[in-house]
Amino acid sequence: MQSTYSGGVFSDTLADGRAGGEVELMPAGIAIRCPDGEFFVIPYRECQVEMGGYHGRMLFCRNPDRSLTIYSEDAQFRRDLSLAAAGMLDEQLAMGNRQRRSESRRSLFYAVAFVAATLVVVVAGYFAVRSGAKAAVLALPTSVDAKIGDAAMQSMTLEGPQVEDPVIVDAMQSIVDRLEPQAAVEGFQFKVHVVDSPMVNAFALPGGNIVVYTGLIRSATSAEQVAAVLAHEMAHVTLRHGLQRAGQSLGIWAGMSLLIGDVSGLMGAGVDLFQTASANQYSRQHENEADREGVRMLQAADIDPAAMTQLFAAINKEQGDLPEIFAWISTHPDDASRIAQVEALIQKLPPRDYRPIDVDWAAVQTQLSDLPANQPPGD
Amino acid sequence: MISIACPHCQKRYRLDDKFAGKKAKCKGCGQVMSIKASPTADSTATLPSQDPLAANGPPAQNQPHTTPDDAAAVPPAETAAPITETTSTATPVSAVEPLAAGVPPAQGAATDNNFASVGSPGGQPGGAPHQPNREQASRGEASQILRGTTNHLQYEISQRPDFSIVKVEIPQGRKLYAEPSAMVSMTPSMHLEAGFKGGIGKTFGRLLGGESLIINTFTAQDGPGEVMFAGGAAGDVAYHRLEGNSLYLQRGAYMFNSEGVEVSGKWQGAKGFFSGEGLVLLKASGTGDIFFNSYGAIVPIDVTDGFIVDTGYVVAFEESLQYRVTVLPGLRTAGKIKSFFFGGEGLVCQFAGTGRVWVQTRQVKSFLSWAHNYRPAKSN
Amino acid sequence: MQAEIHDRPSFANIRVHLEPGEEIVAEADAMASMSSSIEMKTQWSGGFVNGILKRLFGGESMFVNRFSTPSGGDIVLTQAFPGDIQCLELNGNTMFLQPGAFIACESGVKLGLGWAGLRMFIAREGLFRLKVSGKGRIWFGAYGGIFQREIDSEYIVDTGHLVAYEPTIGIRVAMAGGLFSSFFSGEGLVTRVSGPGRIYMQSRSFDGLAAWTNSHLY
Repeated sequence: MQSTYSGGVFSDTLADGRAGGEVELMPAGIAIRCPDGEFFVIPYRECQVEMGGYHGRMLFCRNPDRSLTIYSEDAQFRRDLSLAAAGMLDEQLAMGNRQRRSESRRSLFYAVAFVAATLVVVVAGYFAVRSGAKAAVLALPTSVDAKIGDAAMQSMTLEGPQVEDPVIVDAMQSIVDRLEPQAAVEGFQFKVHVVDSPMVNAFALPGGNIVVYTGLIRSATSAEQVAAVLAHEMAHVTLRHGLQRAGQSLGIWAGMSLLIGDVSGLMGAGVDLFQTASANQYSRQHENEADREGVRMLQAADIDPAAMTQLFAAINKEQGDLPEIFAWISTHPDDASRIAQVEALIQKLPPRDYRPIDVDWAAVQTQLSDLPANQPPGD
Repeated sequence: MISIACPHCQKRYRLDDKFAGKKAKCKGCGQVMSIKASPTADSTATLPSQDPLAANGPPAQNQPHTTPDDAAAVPPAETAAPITETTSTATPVSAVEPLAAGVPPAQGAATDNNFASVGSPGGQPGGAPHQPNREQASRGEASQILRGTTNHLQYEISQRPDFSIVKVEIPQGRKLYAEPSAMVSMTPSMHLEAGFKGGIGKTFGRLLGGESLIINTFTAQDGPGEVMFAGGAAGDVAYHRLEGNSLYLQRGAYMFNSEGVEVSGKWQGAKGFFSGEGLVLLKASGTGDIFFNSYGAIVPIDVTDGFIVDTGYVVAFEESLQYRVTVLPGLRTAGKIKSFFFGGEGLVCQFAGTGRVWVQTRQVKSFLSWAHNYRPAKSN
Repeated sequence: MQAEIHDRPSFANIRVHLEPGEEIVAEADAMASMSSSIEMKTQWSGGFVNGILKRLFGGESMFVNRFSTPSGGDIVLTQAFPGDIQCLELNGNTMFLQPGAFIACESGVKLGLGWAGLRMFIAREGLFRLKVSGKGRIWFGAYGGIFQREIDSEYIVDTGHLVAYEPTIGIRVAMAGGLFSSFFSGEGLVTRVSGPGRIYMQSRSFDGLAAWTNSHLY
């Protein structure tokens, strides 16, 4: 039998209530001697024995009113205690052992089950969520898009003042009116807002609000070219790309958060994502879809889709030193291949009688040149 | 004679009265149990603090003082009930009294005493209240602890003002409803259940309010229970009592509430929803207690005429106020705008009428843009 | 040696006054300022191997600084993040600390690195933990406010909120509620601690801060 075992004691009489010490098995009971000299004893017949501690192997000996506890983790201590107590504590020791063993079996089982379950859920969940998101978004009524879009319209900063000039605005509206009947989905009210800014850009918000910058109109040499841009943007609306993007990102994040159990970030992210739903960051797939749909709409409206490639070329030529201004292309990824793809699409179209758009483009350009943003640089 | 049953294995015992308030090990299952002072009839179904409340009149209304008379709360060994304090107020500001200097040691002791777990009046191992800490003396101790008792619960807000944490004690059978991830710790007598409380409508509304869909229900099932809640950011916690009226909470502010209060998302139309940081609100109504947190300190302000607050700084406000989110042109940074939905720059909330607004002294957006400079940059 | 903790709980710091012949051991980064009469000796924390291990797994620096003075002087010790600092007096007993929590101790205290076990890893407390034992005072800190609790039977702590605990504390990782509730409640897993013994908890966690920050980003 060892003479002492390393351990500790809890007692109300100690400063801070606890101390380390050397545990001894004396004839009368369990004793401990502390570094400062304090000495405690618990007689065997009064002793209540429990197991615990981090590894479950620590033995606690307590007096009846639980004001004094002596403990040790030493493996030898357990064995020697049984002998020293002449069998009085064996029943308690045995119960402690039983409990400990069943607990460790149980935790192993849980650990394995947990890991397995997590793997299954993660894999299955990811795929389920991805496909579910798109379906969910498409099921939303179009009135939702309109609400979001109108609200966004109100709270956005546009790059310049809105243009009220009737020549320009009517020209835009007549282009839209020509295209609208060809829209794939009914129920969207397309309204064009012209903003005076040198930026060569245009975008559509969910629901049908379309913003066109005068920089773009100026770069176009015919109404048909603007029509091409508008058709593309209207396609984004009817295909509900903005909502889809938000729904998809939200969906994946939602899946992961639910798994991890941390949904607090999820909701915050969701709200913010709706805000960026229509930012100029469509994915490549969406851009291609919008190109295709735009060409289809142009064709159906009897407008020559070649206008689209003409516009690309016109902008490309001027792109030179001022990439920022020519935003419509630069924010839309992969310009070169897109132009090629659109051209290929157009090649495949059956011949058709195209009617020009009934707009006095020269008049529009004249009005534009009076607007402040369209003065030549250097003023 | 006390007649009790072991809560773990239900083995019955009859014991002499002298064991009242003490603990014993069950000979059947080996688990520790406390011997309640009275026989099985559950005296803890209602808060023992009902009495002081009844004496004071209507429950927990604004008595504008916190009592640091922690000494009165000691010693725990004599009472079988959790320590009761006088009611506290919902106005941390008015309660601030400059006694921190003289009080710290006693406060330190009392704090620890208050952690006496509910239902264990017999004291704890190492019960002497942590003398060594007092020896090291801490200067500039945290602002005082806010305590209170209501019909439903007892609360204690400590580690103020920057890392506030709320300790809540409820009697058996009562419930608390909390924001997910808010729980820091709890006694095993509390059971946790996640749920979409309030049905799909309210649930969806909360989604838009920036809070989680889920509201967790904590029930003190096996006996009186204690839970501690904290927010994620550095900041404070405030308590508000609802008396049939409502409170609007800014996104992320909601922590937990007692029974009798319903929390739902207020869909105030796309207007507020889309104005960047705007005002995305939760609405808490009913009769009961609600706790909310902030980023930064909380300053309650009583509005009588009108008041303007930048939307990022609004934590909560009473429904008696009318509000409008507008742009204050001078606040908007001119120049390039990266996305069409700017992050709430230059937006303010104009309040009119009478009521209270809780304002926080920091806002998330500023922290994010400050921290953004230190985030690892993605190479293109 | 006199030591006082100031400005709790948010920006706690330790003001130490050393008399000639007295010594204090501190984490390498902990020193904020000191009188010119203080001498500093840097050494491996617990030896070369231990030092490296502590760095890799314990979040502590490889080195510790021993401060002493021939004539008396003052030192201010801090930690890297806003939060609280606590002092604990060891009397032959042992304490386990979260990695990164250690700030300083008296020379009679032994610092070691221990394997925390997979349980603690799942409980987001790290794979390793610091084991402090011996006689003397030790100062440790955490993000958030620190408070202690005497555990007698059982208590439940959210993962990431446990700063320090005695070896007598039994620790089990459990689900927060039922299977559904554990995932959807946002609490996930929790730590069930059982006594007798004392635990130190922090009122904030870095995970909580990360989640909060993330919820405002996109």
